[in-house]
Amino acid sequence: MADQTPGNKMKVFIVDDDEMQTNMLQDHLSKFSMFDFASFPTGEACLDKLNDNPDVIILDYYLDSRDKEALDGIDILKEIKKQKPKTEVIMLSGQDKIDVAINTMKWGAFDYVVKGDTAFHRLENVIYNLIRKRKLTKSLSLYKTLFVLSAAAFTIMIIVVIFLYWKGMIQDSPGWL
Amino acid sequence: MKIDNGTLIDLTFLKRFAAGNPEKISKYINMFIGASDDHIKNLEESASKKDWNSVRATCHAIKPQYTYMGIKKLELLINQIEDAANTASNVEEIPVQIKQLKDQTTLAVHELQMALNSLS
Repeated sequence: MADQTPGNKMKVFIVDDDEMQTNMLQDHLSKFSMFDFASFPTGEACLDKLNDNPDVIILDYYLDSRDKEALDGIDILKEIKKQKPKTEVIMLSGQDKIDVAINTMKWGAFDYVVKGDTAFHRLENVIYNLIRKRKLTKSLSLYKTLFVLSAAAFTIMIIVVIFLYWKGMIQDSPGWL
Repeated sequence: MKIDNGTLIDLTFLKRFAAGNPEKISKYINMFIGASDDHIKNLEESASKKDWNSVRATCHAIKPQYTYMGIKKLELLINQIEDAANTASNVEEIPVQIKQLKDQTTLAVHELQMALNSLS
């Protein structure tokens, strides 16, 4: 995920067949000026633009109110995760059934938000958590690299000491036990 | 700015969401009004063809819009239609419920138009 600096905005795709919902989401999240948006009325239209490498996709569960043949959110989620496993997907739905939510998480959704008047703040929190998770993952990866480099340096030092000892070059050095 | 809530609508959420910005409030009210006719027509057509999946899909899509306009009473009705269409049970009730939804939506739209007038 991109760093959230002014010149490097987070790319957010909104996939929803409800124009009002898309507008409201965009309006709400625009307040934070760290996002670049693109919106799509169907999952298929979103899949066509996956090579734009979105950081986050907010994906509606049911997408068939305009196009009866449109794939549903689960099918689109599976395809996104297949093509872009690092892209985080937040499912958005009018469905408040727990088994639906669990199913989307099983297929790799980062979180599940139920549509309604609390959805906007909930989404804001989910995106904040997502950014925090990515930052922690980045830090962890940095610490892992530092640990590996330190371990390698220590190993090289031990090998050099053994080599010098074997050659008899350090036994007479001051401080050698 | 003062917008009176009607008997069906309650714009408390929308006002808070738009931080009291009259242009934004008007924009969303107009979007609801503009789309409501088509949604009801879709529901009527789908019900006449007994296309319950389409009825379910339309109900599911419009439900949040009624929530955002604070039309709680019709949210319940839409839920009932969606459930009936989803399970294909009590389908004989669906056209009656859609008629109720249409009549009540007409009233809600009237109230929303009055709210729009008070904004301008």
